[in-house]
Amino acid sequence: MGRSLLLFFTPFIIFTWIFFGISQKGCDSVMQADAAKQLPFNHQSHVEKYGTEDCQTCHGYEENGRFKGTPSVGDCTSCHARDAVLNSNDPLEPKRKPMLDSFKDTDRPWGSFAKQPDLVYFSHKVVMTAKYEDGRLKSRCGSCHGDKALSTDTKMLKGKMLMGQCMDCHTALKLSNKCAVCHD
Amino acid sequence: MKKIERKDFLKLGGGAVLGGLSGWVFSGAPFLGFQWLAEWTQDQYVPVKGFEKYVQAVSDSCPAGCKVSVRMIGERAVKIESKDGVCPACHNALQLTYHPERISTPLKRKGDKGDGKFVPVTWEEAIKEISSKMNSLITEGKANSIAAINKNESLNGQLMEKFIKAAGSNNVYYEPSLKSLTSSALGGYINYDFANTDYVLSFGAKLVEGWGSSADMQKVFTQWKSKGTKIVQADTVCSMTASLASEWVPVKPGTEAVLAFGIANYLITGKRLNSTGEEFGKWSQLIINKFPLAKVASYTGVSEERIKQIGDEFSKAKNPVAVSGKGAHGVNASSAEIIAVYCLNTLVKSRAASLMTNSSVSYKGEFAGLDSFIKDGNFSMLFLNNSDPVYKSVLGEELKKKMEKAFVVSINPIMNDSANYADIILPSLSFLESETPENKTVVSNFKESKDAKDIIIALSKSIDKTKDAFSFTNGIDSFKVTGKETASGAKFSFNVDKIKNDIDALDKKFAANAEYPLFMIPVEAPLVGDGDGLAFPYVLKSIDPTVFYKGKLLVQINRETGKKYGLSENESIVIRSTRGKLDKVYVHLTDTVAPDTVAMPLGFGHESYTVYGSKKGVNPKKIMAADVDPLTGTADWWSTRVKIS
Amino acid sequence: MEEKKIEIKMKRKWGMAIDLDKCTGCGKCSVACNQENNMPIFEDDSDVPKRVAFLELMKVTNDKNAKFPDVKTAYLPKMCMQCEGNDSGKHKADPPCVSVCPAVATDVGDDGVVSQIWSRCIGCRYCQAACPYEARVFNWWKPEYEGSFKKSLNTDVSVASRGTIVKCTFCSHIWKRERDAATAKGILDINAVMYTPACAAICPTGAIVFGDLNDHESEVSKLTTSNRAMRLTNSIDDIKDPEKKKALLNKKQFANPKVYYLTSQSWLRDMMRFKKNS
Repeated sequence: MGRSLLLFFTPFIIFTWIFFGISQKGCDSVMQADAAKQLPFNHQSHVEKYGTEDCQTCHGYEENGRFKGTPSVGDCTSCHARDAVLNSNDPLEPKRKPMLDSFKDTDRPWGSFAKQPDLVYFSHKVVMTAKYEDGRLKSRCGSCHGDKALSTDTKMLKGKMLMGQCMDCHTALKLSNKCAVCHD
Repeated sequence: MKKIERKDFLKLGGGAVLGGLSGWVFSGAPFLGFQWLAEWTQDQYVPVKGFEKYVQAVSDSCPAGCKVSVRMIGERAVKIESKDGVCPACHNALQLTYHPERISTPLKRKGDKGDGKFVPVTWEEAIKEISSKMNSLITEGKANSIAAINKNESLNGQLMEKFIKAAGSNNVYYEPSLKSLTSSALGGYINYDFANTDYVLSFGAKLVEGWGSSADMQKVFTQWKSKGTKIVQADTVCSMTASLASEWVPVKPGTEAVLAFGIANYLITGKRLNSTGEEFGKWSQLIINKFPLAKVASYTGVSEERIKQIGDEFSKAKNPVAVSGKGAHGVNASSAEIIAVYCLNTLVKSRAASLMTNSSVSYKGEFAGLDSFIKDGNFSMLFLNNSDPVYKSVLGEELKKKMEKAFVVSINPIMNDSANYADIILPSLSFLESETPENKTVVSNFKESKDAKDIIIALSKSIDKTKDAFSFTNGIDSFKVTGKETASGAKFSFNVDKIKNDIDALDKKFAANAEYPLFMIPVEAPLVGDGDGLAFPYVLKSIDPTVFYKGKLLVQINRETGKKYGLSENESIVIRSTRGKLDKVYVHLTDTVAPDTVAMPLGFGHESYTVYGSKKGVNPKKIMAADVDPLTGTADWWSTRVKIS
Repeated sequence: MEEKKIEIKMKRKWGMAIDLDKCTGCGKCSVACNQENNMPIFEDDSDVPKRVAFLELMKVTNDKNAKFPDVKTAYLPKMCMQCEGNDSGKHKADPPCVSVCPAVATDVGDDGVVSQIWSRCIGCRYCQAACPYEARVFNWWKPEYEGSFKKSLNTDVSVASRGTIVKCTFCSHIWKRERDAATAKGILDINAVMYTPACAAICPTGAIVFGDLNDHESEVSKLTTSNRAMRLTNSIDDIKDPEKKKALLNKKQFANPKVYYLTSQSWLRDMMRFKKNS
């Protein structure tokens, strides 16, 4: 009996692992999770060293409430000035980053991986400003994007966000789940 | 070690297959696969996203100068909005700006004229070719054989007029419009004060369907509705204006002028009213003798009592106004009619109609107007400034022949029937791309196209004689020199000697004609107008199936008339006039048209007006009456005697 | 700081009133709608039953019943009537299209707007058959935007795929846009957000009026309760006796549209009822 189990499970486990690995690699490449980043970014160090706790420092809004998404290089150079020092002993002083030199201020050298499909009208502003009656915010960035504050790279979240996730929150918060709330 | 038996092999194999399967499932690949499949089947196009903003713009390509607010996504213009109202041409500007058949570079003809074969050339080459041709014409003393046809009197039209005149030619013409026709007939165009009038008597003017400044007329109409202004519309078909008017006076086709004579006759003889216009005595004698009310009644189909009643109401109203220029975008050119209707205004001393002139627009050249120029004029060089006379003029075929012998330069953003016969085509802009003193451009220029104003200035700088015609080098400065509009002090003249023949000819026109028993009159569909709209696909979406359905152009014929000729709905007919025949037209029987009338939609039948506008229906101008009016110099094509079979 | 209680329950019920006595048939509404809603582009759009457009500029005349010159013409801008349906006891109040959809692709929103989610649509066209107003259109072909026409596409409205039904949704994406802007200004109450659809915004004579039917002070509710108001082929409106009306409502389903037409012309009223000239 033991031998039978061994005979079955050894290839089972090996093949599970192999196929899991291959398929996930495939998924990642389809979803461009491994696509080469033009610029590395360490969320963790920025949050810890400079206290930029508010995501909106970089991921802000336009005047009309539209979400800007990934920041532009101009947002980086507003701290990492193009004429700042390259090396400094003060760990808190933002330094010049030579890797930014080849970019214009309007460039956005990061891919956005958490885009909503075109048939969804999603408003970050509306979701992020929704409050309970006692003033607590109903959602945080992490509710959908995961804890990016601890990430040290620009890697995206695994897996796609499905409509069910949106609907779960809406149901839990007693918000309308009618189609036209998000779709157009 | 035991030998691996067949059974064990199956276990190993089963483990491997199931393991592979579970690994695949747990990796999420099938779910991603389904999502991808769903998205693939949807085959969606996602427009480029960007920051939303609104940009204000003023149109420099329409005479009314529409003020619009353009919604932008990034660098793309996606919507034209307007609080003040916008004319159809400016509303369609977005589709013009992004038209897939925009001309991207200057083009030079290759092959025969009309073949539509062109090769791209550089701006330098194009300008050089034009200037060498023009310079040699000027040095040869043939400057007067240079001519230009403008679309309208917008700024680039005014610049073109100045440029051609500086070159020593008097031949600058405009596509017939309400302004140009009334200017030629009366010595100034009529400035209507519609806001303060209480009685509007319209002789076929489609006041709410595009007549005059269409954006303003819509506002005027709401004012009339709220104030209860009485609108009386004389019309042959039940147009929107006729339907929305307080009263509709149905007249027989083309007899609006006769009705005006009748009312004038009644006001002069019955009410003893006088006009201050020159030669009034002569004119009134002619009208009184020639058009007694009984005759007017039989011609127009309006009873004598009704004519008197309209005359009474008109003369008793506080501030009445009579409106001429029947039609919407395409306007009737009969000066006899324009004068007769304006006479009514002077008879009752209307304060709502006054004559104006524009110092930099003449409308007249060596010939009285565009059609007389096409008929009798000769040119060896012709500039077309966004105009399409080959399509719009009833003498388009003759113009084609003359254009084949001449050197033709066309300035326009997309191809049209006339540009097809050009030697050089210079690509111009839509108003969203041109700069005005108030606004920067909304979107950047399409490829190599340039502002028509800049093109005209560059042309003038390249020619020896016209080097100093403009004191500025770019189009934006030209806004300073735009012509001043002034109230014209001159009294208008009835010009009896010139229009007498036309008035005499009316008898013949309305006499029974056994060979051509019917009248063909034009009607215009919303947005299509007299043809400019047809290149824009969103205009095609608005066309009613009673006008154009499944590729068939329908003419409207009265039911009784249809019965008389044994016509049935959707039947194919051939329309013949003395000038030719139209086939591939189909019948729509409706009682909204007067008996013995063929109501023919204008604006269809372009030869080369992009893939959207071409080869749809027929162009009735080809067989429409082509008698050129002596004062306006434009063919009086409104009503044509036809027969059908 | 004391905050006002934030309202998240939708209280608005959007409706429209179209004054046919003011409509000149200029067609601006049609162009504005096409532009706003990314209507597909075809070389020849003259096959009207297959034409994809949310707003149809219908030319109507009474020439079937009247002879020249007693005829009249009018243009009738016709879009989705955003029916409410009525609660007839057995059925829940649903518009005719919603009750037949097997895929829950169409639904009535909290604001009364009948939504149509093309990505959920399976293309069975039941709703198109059920619609009394022929307001739904089917994408027989893939919506294509030749070359540079792509540049004029609105990003707020997704481009539907072939084989799906699409229809007017009162430009509800503009409401979302307005709500975004309001939220950015700190206005969190969703009932404070007002908007105007493309057709009503461009109408040069003010013939198309849009607003909240629940707000009795709004212009649109005043217009819809006037004597001139009527709804297209909604025969229940003709019954004046409240008892009879109630009995009928319990027995039968009525479309109950939220688009009202205003006219003082009796022929138009009769025509909209499919009645012969009275």
